[in-house]
Amino acid sequence: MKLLNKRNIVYTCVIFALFAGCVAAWFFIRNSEVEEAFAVIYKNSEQVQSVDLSSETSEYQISVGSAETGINIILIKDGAIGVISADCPDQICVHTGFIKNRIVPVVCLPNKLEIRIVSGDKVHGVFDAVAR
Amino acid sequence: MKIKFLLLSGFLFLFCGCQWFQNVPNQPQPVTRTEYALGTIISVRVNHASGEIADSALDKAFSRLFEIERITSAKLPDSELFFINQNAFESTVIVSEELFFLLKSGLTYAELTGGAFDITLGSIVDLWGIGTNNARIPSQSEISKALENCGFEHLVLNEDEFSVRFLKEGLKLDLGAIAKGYAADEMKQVLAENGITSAVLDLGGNIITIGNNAGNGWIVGITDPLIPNEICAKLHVYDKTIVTSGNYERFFMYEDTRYHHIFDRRTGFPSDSGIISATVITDVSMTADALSTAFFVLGTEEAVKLTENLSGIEYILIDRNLNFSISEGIEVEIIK
Amino acid sequence: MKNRFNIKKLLISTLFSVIALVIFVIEAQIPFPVSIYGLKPGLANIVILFVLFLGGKWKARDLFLIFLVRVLLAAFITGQTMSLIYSLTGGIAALLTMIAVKAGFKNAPAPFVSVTGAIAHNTGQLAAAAFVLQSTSVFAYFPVLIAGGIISGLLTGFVVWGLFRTYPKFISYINYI
Repeated sequence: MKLLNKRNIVYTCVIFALFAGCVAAWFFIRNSEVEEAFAVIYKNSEQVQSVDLSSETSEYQISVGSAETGINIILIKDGAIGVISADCPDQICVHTGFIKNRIVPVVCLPNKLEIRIVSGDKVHGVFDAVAR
Repeated sequence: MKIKFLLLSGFLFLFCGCQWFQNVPNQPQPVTRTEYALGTIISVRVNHASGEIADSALDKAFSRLFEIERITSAKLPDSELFFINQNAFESTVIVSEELFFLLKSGLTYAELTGGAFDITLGSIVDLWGIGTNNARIPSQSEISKALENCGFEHLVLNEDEFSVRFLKEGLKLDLGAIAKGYAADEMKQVLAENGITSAVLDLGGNIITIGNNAGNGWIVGITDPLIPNEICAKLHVYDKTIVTSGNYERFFMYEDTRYHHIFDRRTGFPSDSGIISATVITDVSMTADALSTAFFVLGTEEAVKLTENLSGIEYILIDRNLNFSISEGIEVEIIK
Repeated sequence: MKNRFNIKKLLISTLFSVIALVIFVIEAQIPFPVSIYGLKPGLANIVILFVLFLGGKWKARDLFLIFLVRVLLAAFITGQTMSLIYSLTGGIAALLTMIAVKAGFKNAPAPFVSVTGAIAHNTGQLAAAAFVLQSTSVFAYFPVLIAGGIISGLLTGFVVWGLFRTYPKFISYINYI
């Protein structure tokens, strides 16, 4: 059987096109920014905290979870948020690093934790000011 | 080809024309300026027909802000407050009229609220370090020791010579709970003196408005204490200040308990009165700043009792079960 | 003679499972520089793909058993029983897809089948993660997982393709036993 037959070329092209499309989409998604970014922390799919990253200037830590549900130490610094230590086995959440206004979330699957970036824009748009 | 070109340029012209008409001069254009001061983001939006007047008014208002920061900051080593904290126990310190006024106001609010608002909790604030990288839960003995160095009764002010004296060695003043309010009042005055009749000032979430927004009033949202990226209440104000104290601003979490930045002098712990958000709406931002902190510490019942003796103070108190207590003089639309 | 309880087949199945497990464990030991869930070489899939292409008496049922034994053992060994939900949803999605593609496309080359399987695997895992977290925002990872799936699918696919090409005698020997 010939290796470079018509069918194999089609397979190659389809796979390559899909791959290129995905890489492009990934870079697009990774670089999409939101206005007035808020970080919302979810644990066990419940919101535990949200932080106004666009105006947060202080640096502080939040520890989310307990020994049974898994602990993630989250640091807010320079308007960015990330997990700095966790008791999960894979440490992927720690290696993901800090996010600021990009929509790709920080996830810790073993501890069921997610840090999601949402835009406060829609909510705040109709108000002249928001007291907090 | 030619027709297409003509059509295209026609549309382009129309498009530009619309843009141009939208920018008709003499229509107040909002000018916004944002700076970092008093440990937070200060943002001012001014509506004025002349950009130059708006800019020069903003310049003056912000230089006033930085002046106040240099006096009231507990962190800047060359601030006047820092100097008092270092020296007022060893010797009587003569202070500027401005700082004296602030300290005196602080004492007045402390007496009014029975110590629920207190500018002398610096030792407790430092011990917990909330909002800094060194935040931690101190031991009970550390807290007791720090509490001994707190209390407005250890602060003596002499009005004749503008002097300050501490009666306790470890006393430490922290004007964090009124400095933003005071700065808001002062910036508002500077803007008004410089011809601004319409503006919104946002000092780290403390809101003060000038004018009535061309008759429409200002729409101000109150942050949802449980979901701080959302709004839980909406109100319409004319020329008022709105200040909220909440447990969601600066805090750290430990084992699912939230340790926030508003302390109860009676316990030395973050206040646990049941209130998670206290908003005060009034004319003077410093009063709103002090009272919202005091209400937060007092809890709904005592806070409401306190307002019976005060006039011109409106409030929105939210407890941890999301019950709203709203004063009668204000209309609030609760969004959820 | 038809034997319902074919000891030889059972033995070889177990062997396949163990080989897959060993590959899995070795792969887990190698540090992988990219920290995104689901982005990994997935070399254990070589075994499943190999058996799929053996055909003959190796039916879909055997594939599932080999896969299940591998996944369960891996979960017990690493102690991460929580991650079982992801490996199971991903793995079953991949298996079904590969079986369907192999049956649907006549003479589909191993790399192609493997790529579709890898994409299905990562999609299934992502869906499971979205379900567990009750979050749709994790789908931001979708494109990178598909791209990663294509690479790992090609990798495993070409390994199997190479095996069949290089050792035809060995292949027919396994089928003969």
